[in-house]
Amino acid sequence: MTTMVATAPAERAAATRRRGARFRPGNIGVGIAAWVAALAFFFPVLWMFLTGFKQESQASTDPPTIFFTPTLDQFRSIFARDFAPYLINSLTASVMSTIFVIMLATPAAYALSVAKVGRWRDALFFFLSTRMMPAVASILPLYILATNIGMLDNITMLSLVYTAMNLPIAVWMIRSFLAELPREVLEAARIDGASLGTEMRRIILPMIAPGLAATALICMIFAWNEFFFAVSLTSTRAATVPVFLVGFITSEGLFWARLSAASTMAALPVILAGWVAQKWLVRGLSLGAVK
Amino acid sequence: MRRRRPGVFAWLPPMVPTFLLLGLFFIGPILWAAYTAFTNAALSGPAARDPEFVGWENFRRALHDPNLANAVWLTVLFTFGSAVIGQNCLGMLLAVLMQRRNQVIRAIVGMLVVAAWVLPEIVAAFALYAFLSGDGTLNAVLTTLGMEGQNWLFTAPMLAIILGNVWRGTAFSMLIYQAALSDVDVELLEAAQVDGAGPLRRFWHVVLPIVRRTVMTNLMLITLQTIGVFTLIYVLTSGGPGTASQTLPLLMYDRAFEFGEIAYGTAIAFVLLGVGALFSAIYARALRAEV
Repeated sequence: MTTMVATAPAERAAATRRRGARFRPGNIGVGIAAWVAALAFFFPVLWMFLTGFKQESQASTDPPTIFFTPTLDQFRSIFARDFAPYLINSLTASVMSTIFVIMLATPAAYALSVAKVGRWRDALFFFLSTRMMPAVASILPLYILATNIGMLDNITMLSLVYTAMNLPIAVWMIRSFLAELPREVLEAARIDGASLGTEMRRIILPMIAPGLAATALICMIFAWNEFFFAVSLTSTRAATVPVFLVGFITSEGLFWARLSAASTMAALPVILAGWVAQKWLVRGLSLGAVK
Repeated sequence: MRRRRPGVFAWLPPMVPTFLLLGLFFIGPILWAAYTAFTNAALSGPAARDPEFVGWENFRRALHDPNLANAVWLTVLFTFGSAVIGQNCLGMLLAVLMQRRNQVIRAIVGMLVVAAWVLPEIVAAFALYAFLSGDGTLNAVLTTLGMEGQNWLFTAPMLAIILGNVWRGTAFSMLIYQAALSDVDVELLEAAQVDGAGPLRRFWHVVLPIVRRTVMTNLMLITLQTIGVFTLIYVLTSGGPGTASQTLPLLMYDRAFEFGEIAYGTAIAFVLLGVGALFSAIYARALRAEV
């Protein structure tokens, strides 16, 4: 796709601007480097995915088996081992916590951006600071708290923890979307006599809907992926998919094909969600600092 | 607008649930931990029922604990190697390589790199384990190529977890830098090129000064993420062999849950916070010095 065009420099510069790419032979090398790097990054994921469709005997051979007849045996055996409840727990915790997060974070973000509560900067940094705590440090008190209120191994408890975990990100992210709303629109609404409720429902929410969707998707990814809280606060009834994966190993040694199949099922939803939300991931993870 | 702006108290109610949740699940635990670090709380034995206040005892012990010194050093090494050098530089390199490529290539390369990053941490850890362990894919490939494999997780544990974290985290830096680079004015780069600046000099003298704020923000975020990494290391090496890859989160978990010394484990968590604060202070200073 890259061709050397022998034209006058001015023309070439114009072409560069038009097509948004530089036509120099070095470019081919650069392109290949980008591809090699990307494939190297993807290789372990691809390998895991392929292993999930192998027989156990093909999973760890030397040299590695590349050509094989794909089988769904591993996926079948996982569901035979009661995978469904874990899947339901994961779904419940991610969806429930995400709904809570959006419901709580939207008014907070509004108060912090559009209404500009006094000392809003302090409040924002308060949210940020809770995010900076390593989970390992807060797990002990959380465990003791859950035991004392009888909510250990409880999916509602886990959802609440995930809600608190994702709130800071959501507040910062939604705030960054609100900050981009044109002020004139809001002012016009108020001059027309719209109450705060109407303003919120009819004007603000529709305008930031894509932002809210992105925020929700990112919160869901985090809740779905979370392992440390789940493994510490749940055991049998409320355990999620990542906990299922660990149980797999300890109970019967390493069955790579089956573990890969289970991992694939754990990873597929977030990889898809990640691709959809890729554009907004940056904003979410930099807490709205980078757009 | 000013006359209709509600006071602080009007905006407090919508934020109450948010503050409550964060207080219950994050601030509360931190305060509890701050107190516990000064007691002799334990998981079992007489101290479990009735912990006593012991003052600075835990921190005094930490000061003379060779394991802690080792863990601090490994944490700094891990953070510097995998975040500051690895993710940061590789992320920037990938972002530069993909700069002004055509849309399709950017999208595909982005998807491949993002897949590794969006995976559940536990799945990423398994994928890496399958890749790096004694009978893993890397060795199988090396053997096929006629080279001698080794158990990388045993012979080079720090290198393994650093590479693992680079693999997992680079997408984040890449996405952030892509966003930042798209803000750099093309005219400026062309002007520099006309003046005879090569690609390296253009990057160093034109691009870098423009995006340096983003670089600092990114460094701060990835550092704080990396310092708390637990699951990845736990699955890959469990901090071993011996204590050869036992970073602070691993040491803390080991003391608090394996040895049952909750108080000492909590004190280690504060050392971890201290290391994070130190890194943050360096970045904050670097930013302020430039402004």
